[in-house]
Amino acid sequence: MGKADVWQGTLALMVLKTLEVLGPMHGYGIARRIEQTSGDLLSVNYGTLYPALLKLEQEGYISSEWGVSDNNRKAKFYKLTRAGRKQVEKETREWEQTTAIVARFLTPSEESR
Amino acid sequence: MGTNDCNRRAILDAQRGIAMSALRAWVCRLGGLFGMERQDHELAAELEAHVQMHVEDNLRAGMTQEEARRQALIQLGGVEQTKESYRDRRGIPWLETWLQDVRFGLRMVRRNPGFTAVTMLTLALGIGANTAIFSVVYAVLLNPIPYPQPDRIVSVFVTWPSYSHGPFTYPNFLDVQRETRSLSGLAAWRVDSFTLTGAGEPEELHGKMTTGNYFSLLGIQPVLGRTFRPEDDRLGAGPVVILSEGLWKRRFASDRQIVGKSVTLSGKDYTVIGVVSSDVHFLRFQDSFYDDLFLPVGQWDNSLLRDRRFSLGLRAVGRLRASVELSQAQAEMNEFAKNLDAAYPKENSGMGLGIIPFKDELIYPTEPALLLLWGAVGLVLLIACANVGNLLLVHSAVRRQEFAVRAALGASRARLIRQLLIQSIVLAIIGGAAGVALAGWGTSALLHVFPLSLPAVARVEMNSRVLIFAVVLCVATGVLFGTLPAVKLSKARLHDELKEGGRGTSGSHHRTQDAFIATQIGLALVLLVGAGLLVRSLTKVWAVNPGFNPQHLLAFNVAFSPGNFADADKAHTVLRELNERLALIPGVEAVGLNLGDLPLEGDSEVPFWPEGKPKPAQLRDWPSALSYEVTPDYFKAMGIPLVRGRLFMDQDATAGPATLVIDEDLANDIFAGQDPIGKRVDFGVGNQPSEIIGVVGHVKHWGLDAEAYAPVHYQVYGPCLRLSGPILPIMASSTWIVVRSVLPPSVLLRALRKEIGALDRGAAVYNVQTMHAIVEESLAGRTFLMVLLTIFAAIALMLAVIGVYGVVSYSTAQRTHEIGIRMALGAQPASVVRMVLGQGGIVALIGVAMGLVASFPLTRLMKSMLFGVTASDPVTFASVAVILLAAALAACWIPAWRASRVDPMVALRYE
Repeated sequence: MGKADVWQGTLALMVLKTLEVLGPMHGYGIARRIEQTSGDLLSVNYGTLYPALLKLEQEGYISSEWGVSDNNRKAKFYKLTRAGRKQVEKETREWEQTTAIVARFLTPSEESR
Repeated sequence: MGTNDCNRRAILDAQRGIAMSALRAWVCRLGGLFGMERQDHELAAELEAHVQMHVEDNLRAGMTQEEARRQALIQLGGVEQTKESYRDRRGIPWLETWLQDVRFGLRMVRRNPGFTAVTMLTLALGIGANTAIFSVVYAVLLNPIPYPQPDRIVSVFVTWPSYSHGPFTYPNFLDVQRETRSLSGLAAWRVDSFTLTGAGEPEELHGKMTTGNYFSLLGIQPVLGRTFRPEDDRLGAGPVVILSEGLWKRRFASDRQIVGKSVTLSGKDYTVIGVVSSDVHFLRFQDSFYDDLFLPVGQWDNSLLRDRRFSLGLRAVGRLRASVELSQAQAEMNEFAKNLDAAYPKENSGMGLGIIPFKDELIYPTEPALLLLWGAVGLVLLIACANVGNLLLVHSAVRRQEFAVRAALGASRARLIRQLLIQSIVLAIIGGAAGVALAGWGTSALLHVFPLSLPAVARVEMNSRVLIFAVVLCVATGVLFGTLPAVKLSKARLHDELKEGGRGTSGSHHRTQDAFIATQIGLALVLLVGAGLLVRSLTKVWAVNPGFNPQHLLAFNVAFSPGNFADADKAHTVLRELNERLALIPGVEAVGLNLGDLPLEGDSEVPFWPEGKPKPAQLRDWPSALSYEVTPDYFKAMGIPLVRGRLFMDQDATAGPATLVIDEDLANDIFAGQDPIGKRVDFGVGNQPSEIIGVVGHVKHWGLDAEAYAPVHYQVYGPCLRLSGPILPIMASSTWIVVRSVLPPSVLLRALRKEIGALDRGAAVYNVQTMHAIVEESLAGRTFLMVLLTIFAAIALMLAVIGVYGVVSYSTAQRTHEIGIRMALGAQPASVVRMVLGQGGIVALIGVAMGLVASFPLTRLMKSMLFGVTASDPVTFASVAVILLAAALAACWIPAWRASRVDPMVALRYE
């Protein structure tokens, strides 16, 4: 089985969740983290991350500022805003609901057998 | 239940949250359109950092420097691609390309000042003229009634076999007002003049006597106080008056405490109950100046008003009920007319009632003229479009290579056309902005010059509707003149351009331009013919003999203090003394009084019957004549010639049988082949027959150009000092005085005022005009139309000439090389001139021919505006064609002459 592409919408949630867990982080770090967390099952075209970050920033869920990375490199750091925290909660809830519904279809229950 | 609510609220909140963040994103993206350079810079830095960190990680993982960088870039998906998708997210891509096109258009405008100036001027004239006329059309034709629900307002009038649009008598009006079911209300008014006395000079004011429901029916709210109530509109009610805002400001210094105060009008005290805005009372053009003040007509204790037969007429206006059709209302009016006829056969026999939308009555007189002007400015704009289109074609020839290269590099045709169209629209909007400024200035200037010639002029303004019209017009204009050049330019193909070696024009290009100029010339010809016909008409009108001599003749009204007309004897004494005093002023040749109406200033008619023939029983079957009540010297003052018999003498007013002077038309028609002198004429009930003593020349009472449409031709004169009874004070309340003198009017007027003041301190002198000005004013509408159409035609001619010049000089310049060869081979300069002139001349001829063909049907539409010339007047058509051809050839002459001076060596070396 090859690597799956990240489909639209879920990338935003992954970014938000990553920032929630790790705190402020630059674009490269977020990309690596998503890749690692997925157990290298996902291939993130790192380039697609930046428009997604811009969109989240425009929507007010994250904010950015220039800072210095671990190995002393100037980089743009993103962090979750208060609205972003709420959005993570909300999207997580929605995601769980959606997967639960889909799961019901995939694992047939007693009645419908 | 509770949880359910909670959920719903959560959902609503969530939805609102999404909407908010989406909105926020859009605002950011709009903001993203600005400060792009800085943002690009930041992104570049961010991506650079990203790649560097990745490279370092890869190096740590053991890759070579080269491989580390390669892998980092692969995983990123390319720096430029990332930037591109980032930019798309940052701004709004389609808006960005549009803005880019607009910026491109603006740059083109800046880079080519000459081209821009000519284009802008052309478009400013075209769009400006259209905006100006539209502002008038909007105020006068499209939105003429400034009251709520104007479509439901109707005009109700009385028809007679001889007169199709007459006023009501008060008793008849009251009956219809009471009975009507199809109208939610019916109001009426009559105009009158009042002398305001009290603080300051006595002043003659013009007002309306209205029914109590006039204001509420039209929906006019007072600025101060209240409007009339039904109880004000009765005999014996407390005398009340409503002032107009204009009078209130001018005469009463905007006194906020005016309500409840008393003013004296024509010797009687009235209590002010309210003030109404000045700009809303306009109902009929003729009445529009009678809005200084308003009185309730029902209080007026005048036996003539309450006489069902005698016509102290009232104009009526009604409001149609919501569900009622006009035809149903007309049916109801027919019913009323029949009932009134049956109930009062003596007074109402033959009477009918008519009802039409008020708007129709209001715009009827001006509609054809305005539509003509609208059509004319439309043509001007088309010519302007053709001109700018041509300029763009010329201009685009220079850019063909640029566009061919862009097309070859993959720009789609739609993209190129869009860019060019946006440039055209940018040009049109810049030109249009100048045009709107020009229109604002031009409209007020024109309305200032001819203030009285159009109704509703007070409401002509640059309002939002007019501006929207102008903007739509700009865009449409840009598309119209830009499309053809854009399509042609977008067709440019690289290999053709390279083959042409950059000189880049082909035959088809010239054919398009020639078609443009021919069209321009044709359109200009149509306008010139129209203007020419109006100029010829006006000349012919001025050549008409009015039947009196308007030179050195001053006319004015006098209103005396009310006490002077308490009885007939007193009135006669005052009028006689007035006449004597004025006649004695040094420099005055003759003084005439007229208690009826002056020519061109209203009319009063009487039915008459020559004695001796069997008399029809009904008055309405008698012929009518205009009647003038005059002093003996009136004829001398006016310059009306005596044809037969004698004029009045002083004793005609006092003793002997009633005497009469008639005009030539009446003498020739009614007394054909007989001597009218000594014949007697009957004027119906209550009047003794009068004996004809003289025949005078016919006067063009209705205007120099209106004789053909005049409802009444015949004219009869009676001695005014013989009048008596209740009619006398009414007629004498607006006594016309005409004074013939070579003195300057201002000097004369000072002397006249002095004498009148000495006779009656409370007398007001008003409507002072020279008779020449009155004649001029009667032709103001015609003059206005002629001047405007001539201006538009001149603009059209100018644009067409510029167009011809531009195209011929451009194409001649393109042919410099060819002309050089011709001359090197022995062509004479004269033959070169002939060649260029011939080229332009043929196009001009085709244009003139097209224009002539188009003019024939179009000028026929303006038949009603012509006087003394036919719509296909050969003199006008021929002279306009010659003028236009001459102008076109003159425009070709400069490039032709320049071409003939080409030095063959220079032209050949140029290659």
